[in-house]
Amino acid sequence: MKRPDHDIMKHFSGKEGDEVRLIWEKARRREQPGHDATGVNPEEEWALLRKRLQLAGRTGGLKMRPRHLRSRSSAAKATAAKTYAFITALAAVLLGGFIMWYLFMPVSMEAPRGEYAVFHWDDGIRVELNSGSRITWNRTFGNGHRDLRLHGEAYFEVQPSGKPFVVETQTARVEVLGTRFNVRSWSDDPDGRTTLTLVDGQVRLASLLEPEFHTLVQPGHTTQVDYHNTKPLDPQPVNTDQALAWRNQGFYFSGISMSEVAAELERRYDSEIIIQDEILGDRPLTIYLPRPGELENIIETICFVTNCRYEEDQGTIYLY
Amino acid sequence: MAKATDYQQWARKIRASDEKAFHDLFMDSYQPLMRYAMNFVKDTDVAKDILQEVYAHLWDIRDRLDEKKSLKALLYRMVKNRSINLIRSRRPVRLDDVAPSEQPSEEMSPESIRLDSDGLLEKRLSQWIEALPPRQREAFELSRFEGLDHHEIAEVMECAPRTVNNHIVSALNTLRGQLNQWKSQGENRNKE
Repeated sequence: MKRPDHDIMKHFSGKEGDEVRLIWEKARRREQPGHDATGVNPEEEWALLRKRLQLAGRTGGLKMRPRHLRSRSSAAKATAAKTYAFITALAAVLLGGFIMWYLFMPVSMEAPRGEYAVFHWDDGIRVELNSGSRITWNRTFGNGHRDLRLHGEAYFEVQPSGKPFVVETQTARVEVLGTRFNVRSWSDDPDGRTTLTLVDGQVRLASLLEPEFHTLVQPGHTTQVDYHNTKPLDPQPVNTDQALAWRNQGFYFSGISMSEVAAELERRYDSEIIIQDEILGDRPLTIYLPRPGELENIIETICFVTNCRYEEDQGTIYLY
Repeated sequence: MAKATDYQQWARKIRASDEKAFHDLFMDSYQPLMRYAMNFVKDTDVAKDILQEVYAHLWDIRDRLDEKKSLKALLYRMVKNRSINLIRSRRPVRLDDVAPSEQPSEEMSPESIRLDSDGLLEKRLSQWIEALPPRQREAFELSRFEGLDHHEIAEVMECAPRTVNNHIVSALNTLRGQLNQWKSQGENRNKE
């Protein structure tokens, strides 16, 4: 029997390790009464599949019929005084709680799906948020809105002031003096990639997981880190107009998987896209649409490029 | 199930339309996938239909198979996606609800409590596993019962391998806690 992976076992030492090994060894699937899968004969199922695929001339046109078609006194005054004291105490607690909440809760601003959002502050900071993105910061600690946490994609313009400006994502920390740059880091990306594109100025990007790994990026260059590659990639030259196409409602994807493209379209058009073919979902796509228009036009273009088909049903688009 | 290298070889041969390799893959993977599908749909006929669809689809897209990617993980993902789509189409359901529903545990007779054997521990363990948070449980079961490695589990669960690691470590810590509690209860019983 397979042992737990080494990187699991290293979390447990001595007695803990013995307990984990015991759990691993004794763990059994729960038998589900009445749901016995052992009565299924794979040979029979194979014969069925073979017949089906051959009849269909191996193009998969034939669909099988599913089998499962299927009061007032001194005492009252005292009570009133007690009640009053209680209310005062409660109000104090609530107010205290509110102040604590106000001071310690991170402030959050977002661009809902299907919309964009622009924020600017007097100290020369401008943030443009792509659809479905969010920035948060802490009112009390650090440097307020000069110390942001980004979920999604945003374009930043920071006027030089000598004060630090920091953007943190799931995998990276970007430190800035004065500059214009774009950061992309979607939490639904399995690798947790953070992509930085610099328009002008100079920024330093460090891995959040291993801060000793960092790189200086020059204007017109891009770099990337993720959970696995904690050492930022050597900055590469990039067309910044393409990388910033989203600011003008455009799209630019370079070697990005279909499922990631679909996730982006879902956020921008606040719609649902289901890719019914796992292989298609993994397919890399390179496409630049500066003025894409309607969602259906984009889907048509994508289907033309990748030779897939689509169907719309109650606002959901199915790709196959 | 066969080794990862066998799966890699089969993927290469199936790409080249090798029916024998497709048969070998089918025979090796059918029963584990059947068990896996049953976790979701709980009906043998429905599970059989899902598997027919999965293998037929795999054959249709064979020319696009990527040898560098785990064929095993692909099969598990296909079964999971189709099972969830099927359940969704029947009634509104949240993804977290898809995990098998908890069944009431039968009462332990006094004899079986005294019988502090491994058999009882196994029974308890499967109940504890069922009570884990859905994502932890899924990661633990794919690792322990389906023998998938962390990269394969990450592909099936559509998350980062680090997250898989975290889920399994959390699951094991919860189970260790329950094991120790159970052990100390056993000692108290023996004293009485």
